[in-house]
Amino acid sequence: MIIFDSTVLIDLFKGNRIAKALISEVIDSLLSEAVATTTVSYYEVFTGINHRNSKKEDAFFRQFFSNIEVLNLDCTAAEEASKIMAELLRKGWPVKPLDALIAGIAKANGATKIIAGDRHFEYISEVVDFEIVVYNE
Amino acid sequence: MHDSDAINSRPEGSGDLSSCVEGKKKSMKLKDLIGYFGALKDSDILDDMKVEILKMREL
Repeated sequence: MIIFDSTVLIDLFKGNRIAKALISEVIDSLLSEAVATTTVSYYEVFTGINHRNSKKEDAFFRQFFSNIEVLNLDCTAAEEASKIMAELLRKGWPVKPLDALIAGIAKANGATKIIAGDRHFEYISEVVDFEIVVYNE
Repeated sequence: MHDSDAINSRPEGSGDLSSCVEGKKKSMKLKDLIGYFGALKDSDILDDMKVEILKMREL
């Protein structure tokens, strides 16, 4: 399972060709791989939509989230996130809580890969056993 | 206030949460996701939303 972070999804929907190239070429062999996102991304996306009361984007993302697996932040994921953050703290590389929570959700659900647009995931990639692709526009 | 009372007294939101039902199994594949490329290319707010998300991550 590949987990997509909110900023990568936004770039894909916006029609960013770099995002598409990353998805379609770098991981071309995984076209039949299941994809998912997280409740953290759900929260982030709808914060932006509700802030602007934008009906078009609201309808689009509700339809999208009804089709893609949205993985929950449950106790198992929170436990995994705490272990990841603890390891980063030991190394002196604390990251932001939302990033650690996304990584914990990925770990708890057996994800093979996260594709993220946030550079802090580069630190997380040093302490987890799944691949993290950090996408920079 | 009892827990169940607290839940029942939550204000009703305007959002339709049917897209986020716990345990609802979905089967989107990578090839399906690519089909969404450019689906919101005319959106005026996506760029601002992305900046806002990255700022939230910095808090």
